[in-house]
Parts: sequence; structure tokens; C-alpha cells
Amino acid sequence: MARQPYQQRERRYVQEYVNERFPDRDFVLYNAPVGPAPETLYAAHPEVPLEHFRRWRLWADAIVGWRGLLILVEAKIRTPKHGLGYLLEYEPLVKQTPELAAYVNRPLQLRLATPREDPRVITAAAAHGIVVDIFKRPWVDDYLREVGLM
Amino acid sequence: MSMVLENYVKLTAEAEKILKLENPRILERTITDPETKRPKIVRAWVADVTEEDYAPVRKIFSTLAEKLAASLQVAADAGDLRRYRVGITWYPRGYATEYRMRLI
Repeated sequence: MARQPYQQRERRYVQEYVNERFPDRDFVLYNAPVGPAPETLYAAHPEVPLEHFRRWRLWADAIVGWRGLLILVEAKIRTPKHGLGYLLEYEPLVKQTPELAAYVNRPLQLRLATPREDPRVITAAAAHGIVVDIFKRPWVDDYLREVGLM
Repeated sequence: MSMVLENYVKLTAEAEKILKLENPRILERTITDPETKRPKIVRAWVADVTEEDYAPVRKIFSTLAEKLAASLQVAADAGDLRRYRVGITWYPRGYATEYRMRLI
């Protein structure tokens, strides 16, 4: 059976999430790089090729300026537990991100947007101060049913 | 003699380009596959550009990047392209190329 073409579902999901939850936002960045510039990392770690840092920069699903906060959003449709790791990895890097220099004085909130209400993930997130926002859409439910996760 | 009929927006590496986009659509284009050197048909996300870095223009923006196209199409479907300007930053990294999108 031919494979279905890959669809960028999480792109759609995170944008619909931001539009729904933060309609009065100051700004939003989608697919935003986090962490020091590759050249800065290379200067600190010359034993690692610059190309490594350029190629493997880290990318947050969304960064939202909202009511004085800076909100780091990871969206995970299928595997919410993976979002926890990304958020914890990105948290200390936000203040080192040159593209976010204008906003580093804002309090940072970590948010995991997911349609899957997994109490284990919610408990682990709470232990790290991460907000888990259960965000459902009919088209996401259809997809989860299609892949047997609902 | 060939004549340039359309003026395309050109992205510069790691410099944000701020665009006002209208009339988004998907167009099929024939390109030369960089690996096989054979022509192939691809689907491009295309829109008219009425402002470039806040200056009025009449240009076209076109991308084959699947993730960027998906983000732009969601923005179009949500009405965000009518409400906001779009800042696009291109981070060329070979197969790991990424695009940041900002709604302004």
C-alpha cells in the first residue's frame, strides 16, 4: 500500500493553538531558534565543528509575547511526553538567544499544548512548573483515531 | 529575447524579510531536480506581495519549503495574512534548512 504524503500537522496545530489561546498577544514567533548563535557556541567549543552548531540549532514551536510574559510553546499531538524534554532543554537557552534579546526581562512560562490528556505527563510537567494545556480540535481527533491513538 | 514578467522576493540568509501577502495559492512548477538533474513537477506555495519591508511593491513570494508553506497556509486559512504582516527569516542549513515565521 502506498504511503500517504506527510502532512505538517503540528504546524497547523500550534498556530491554531496560539490563535485560540492568545488572540491578544503582543507577538508570536513560529519555529523560532533558541540558544546562542552558532558562532558563539563554536567560540566556546572550538573542538566541535561550526557546521555542527549551524545545522543542529534548536527550534521552538512557538514563542509568544502575551500580557508581559514570554511563553515558550511546544506542541505535541501524538507524544506529549517528548514536549517536556524539549521545554526543559530550551528553558535556560531562551535568555541566551540573540533573536530574543529584547524580551529576556519578561518572566518565562513553559507550555505544552497537546490533545492527549496523560496524567503521567501532567504530573511530571507540574513538578517542573510546565503548564500542560489540553487543546482539542476535531481534525486532530480524526487523525488520532486514524492512527489508533484514540 | 526573454523578458522578466514577475519580480520575486528574494530571502537573504538570517535576515528577516517583512512581507504583506495576498492571494495565496498553490501552483505546480517544473524544476530541475538538483540530484537527478531531471525535470520534475513540484507544488509551490505562492502569494502576491504588496509590501516588502514596509515599502509598497508588486512582487511574488514563492516557496517550495514544505514546513514554511504549511505555516503560511495555516496563517492564510486563519485570516492571519489579512490581519498581519509576515516576517520570514531563512536559516540555510542544507537539508536542515529552517524558516522562522513571525506575525507582526
